[in-house]
Amino acid sequence: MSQPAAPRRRRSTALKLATLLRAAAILVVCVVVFFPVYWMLLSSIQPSSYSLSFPPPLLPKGFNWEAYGQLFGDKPIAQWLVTSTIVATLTVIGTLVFVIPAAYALSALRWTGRSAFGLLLLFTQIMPAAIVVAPVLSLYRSFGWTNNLAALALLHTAFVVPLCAWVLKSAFDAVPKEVVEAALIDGCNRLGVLPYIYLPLVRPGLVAVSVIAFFASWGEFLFASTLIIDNGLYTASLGIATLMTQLDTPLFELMAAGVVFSVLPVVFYMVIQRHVLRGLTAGSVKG
Amino acid sequence: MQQAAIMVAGVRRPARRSLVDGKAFPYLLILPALALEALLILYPIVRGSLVSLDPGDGTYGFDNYSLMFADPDFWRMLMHTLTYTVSVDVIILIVALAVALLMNWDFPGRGAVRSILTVPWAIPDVPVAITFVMMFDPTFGVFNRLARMLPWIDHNQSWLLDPNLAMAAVILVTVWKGFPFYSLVLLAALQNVPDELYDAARVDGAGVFGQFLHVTLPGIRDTIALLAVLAFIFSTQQFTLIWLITGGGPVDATTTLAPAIYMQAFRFFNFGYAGAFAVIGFLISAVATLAFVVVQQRLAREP
Amino acid sequence: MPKQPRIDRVNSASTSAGLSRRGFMAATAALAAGAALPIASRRSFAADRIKLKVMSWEQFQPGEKDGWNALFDKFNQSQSKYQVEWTGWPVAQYEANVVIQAQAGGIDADVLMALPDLAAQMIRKYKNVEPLDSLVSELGITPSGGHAYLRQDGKLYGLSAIDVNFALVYNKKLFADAGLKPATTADEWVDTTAKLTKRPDQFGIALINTIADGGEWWFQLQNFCLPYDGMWAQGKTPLANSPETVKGLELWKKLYDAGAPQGTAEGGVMKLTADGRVAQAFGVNPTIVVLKATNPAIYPNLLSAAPPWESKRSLDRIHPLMALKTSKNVDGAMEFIKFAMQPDVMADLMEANSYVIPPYDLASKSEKFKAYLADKPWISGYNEAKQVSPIDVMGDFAFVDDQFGRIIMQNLQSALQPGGKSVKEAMDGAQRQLEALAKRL
Repeated sequence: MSQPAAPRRRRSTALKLATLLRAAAILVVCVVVFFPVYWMLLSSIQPSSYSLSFPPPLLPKGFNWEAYGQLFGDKPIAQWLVTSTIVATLTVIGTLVFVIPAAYALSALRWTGRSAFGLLLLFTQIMPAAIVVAPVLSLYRSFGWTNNLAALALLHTAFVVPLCAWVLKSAFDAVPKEVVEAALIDGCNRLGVLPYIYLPLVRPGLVAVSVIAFFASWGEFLFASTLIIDNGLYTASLGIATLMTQLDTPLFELMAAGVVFSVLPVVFYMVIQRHVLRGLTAGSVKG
Repeated sequence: MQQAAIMVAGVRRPARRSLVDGKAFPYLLILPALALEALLILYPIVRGSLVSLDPGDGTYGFDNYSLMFADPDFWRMLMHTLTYTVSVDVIILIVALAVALLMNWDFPGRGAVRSILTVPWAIPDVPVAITFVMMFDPTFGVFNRLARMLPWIDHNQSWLLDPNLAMAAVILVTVWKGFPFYSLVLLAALQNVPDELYDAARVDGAGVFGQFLHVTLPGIRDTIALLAVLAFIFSTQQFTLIWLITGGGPVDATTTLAPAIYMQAFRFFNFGYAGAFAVIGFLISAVATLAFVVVQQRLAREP
Repeated sequence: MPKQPRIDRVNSASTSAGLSRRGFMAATAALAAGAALPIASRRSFAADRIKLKVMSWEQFQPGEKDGWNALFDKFNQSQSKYQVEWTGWPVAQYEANVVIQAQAGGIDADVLMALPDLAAQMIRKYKNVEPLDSLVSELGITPSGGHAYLRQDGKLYGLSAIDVNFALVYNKKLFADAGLKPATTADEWVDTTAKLTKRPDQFGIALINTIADGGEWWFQLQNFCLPYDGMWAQGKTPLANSPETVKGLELWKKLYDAGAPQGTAEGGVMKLTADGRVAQAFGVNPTIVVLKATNPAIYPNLLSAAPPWESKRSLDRIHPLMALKTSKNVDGAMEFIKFAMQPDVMADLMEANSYVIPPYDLASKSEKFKAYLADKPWISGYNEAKQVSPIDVMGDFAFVDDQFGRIIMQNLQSALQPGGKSVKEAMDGAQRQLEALAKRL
């Protein structure tokens, strides 16, 4: 009861020190990670003569919005962003549709061929794109699926489903068996536990999978460039590529494009990310 | 709940019940994903691999393979691929784990911080590559400005023109661009480690490091193993960043599998030869994946 | 969306005609009609015409797309059977995607515009292009000497859409400020380059020098067998380490050491040049168009001079139009190519896009073109340069040009490392690799 005060104080100073160290580490990581982004931003907004001097200034020495002006003046940026958002959203939906039953089967059910299926999914990730792209095109041509954004989203879905099945499987694995068994005894069947027990509990996993699918689709270029030839259906990554022309690569416009095109996915992540955090879902995660 | 489940899932109770409880149920669940992958990924992989048996004149055989194994450039390329892949794999997992551990901590402003740490993932490859090329520029680059702050560096480095530094540079960029994905997955795994285990470890007198070693690591072991395999696979396939930053140079120091395949197929128009490269790359990654599964199953059998 | 404005222009012509007939209508009705008409006319316009697809990268080129769009318009208006449209990709992905399409069962186009390497592959490997000899005789033209690489078994498979050649581009202001004149010999060239270099503010010469920009680097570097009248190869025999070629590459290295932005990306080099911080470049004529687009103020300062060596020979690279055999409208493809090659049409295109080297002796057939050439001060160096086709210096390797270039660049780069090999040693290495490549030709 009458605990000496000194150790407690020492403990709290140690705690404070640990907190401080942790905060410092977070700061350092943020600075290191953000620096290239900062550099991209800086180079896109200051006159190019500063970026092409030595030593290059670490803070903007002047503003020049020409790169953004050219980008928005010459190119249908908004249209590209909308198209990419559509394709990425379709990919997220498609991924969830395919991946939830697959992850459930992989994690919670016992069946012959389960590990073989898991392995097969991993093998699909070992896909040498340069070799696969021509067969995919010929397949899509035979279906009449070229210049079709939904079909492109389906392909993006196929790219991320195996990866997402594995990620979601580990989320399913963490659901306490007792909760599921209790529900089964209560009369819920093997299909019923999926929406009523599993899905609320693996929400962080579902969010992670959605983010992965969104980002993968957002950045995909090679297959989009092969399957989408109609300029009116260009996604953001295809649009950016049109900036690079013969004999010229407009560096600063491309950097401006990098800034512009990363805003939407980051906003998407910001909106959705708090669901990954334990604080908001702790109750349900722990059942 | 039972009624709701029935309403969701089906019309005729007996038929549905036998389906859900029967042996076919798991197969029905995986069927859509399996069909999708078989059609859009596996079939094209097989078709693409067959190209490697065609030397270009329509006669099928293993000419491309014998040519490849006799080609010293091929073996050099494999060594570069191994250096790059293993380095990226190890570094990206360490960085991602460190970041995930930091982010798994409740602190004010964590939402903003976590968003900042996701930005590299969100920027398209092309602007990322161009920004880093500018930063590495021997004459104007900011990395030289920063390096020159170190007392023992008194002249500008030509980062991308030196074979060793260029390899380090592409590894750095790959890690920077790729770690948010691994952090995200690791973070999700960290959330699943039950608090009670930490409490128990604390009661047993384990410090921060002890908790990490005895609670955290075992709890996320499977995820780390999975990510290690994925990092291996993805880095053997890394093309855009390497192609735009070094083009596989200087000399051939950063020519790894994916740029080599691309070059053979689309620059040199040797589709069959590129196919042979791709098949070898596929086999290497497949062996790595099998090793992962074996190790994982052995670990799972341990108490 | 380059094709959109073109269609709209055609439509707006028919729209205004329609409106004039309805001149008496109320303003609101006219507006409504105006809004509805383009859709209606577009539908009928497309319905009774056969679509011809031209696969190209030119619709993405800022300085060139307008000239081509105008040519498309003229073709669409000159006849009522076909409507020509763009398809394709920006130049960086162009060859890869054309090859992917060919591998996937066929190129989805009627007319193919090809980069030189791709053209060679289409003729020799894919064998999917039609001979154009009948067009040549109908038009009564004699294609320029650079067309040699487009011939196979006596037949001609492509006609030049864009022909570029190399000369010395220089910034006359920087030269005048330093009291210098553009070089006429190799030694002078190194000398002026050194004198005009004040790193990091100003560079004597814009040499592309990284593998990441390998395409552009080889494009320039390929010329450096010419200063001492060397060759890269003869037939199947590579000549990478022949004394003349090695001397040429040593010249390149001297220029690189004296005044190139070493290790800077092509985009950076072009930006520096457009900003007036580079004194000279060894480049093709579209370089000037690109520089002008980046910074219009630099344009009046740009002039060209002949390649600074005695022979004045420099490479000339033809990007041909080809008619695809797989097209359902081969006649239409031929008709379009024939239309593009007509003297007046070609002269307009060349003027709009600042092209310099015509596909055939255009000056003798078009007064307009003659006047245009006389009018452009920066053209003289390009006209003085003596054209050499890649096939003249590459032998059989002209058909594996990129692969050859990659070997040369990689080995040359080992001579650029501090304490690296000599150029001769580096080229000995290249020679061995090229001999191995020769066995696979």
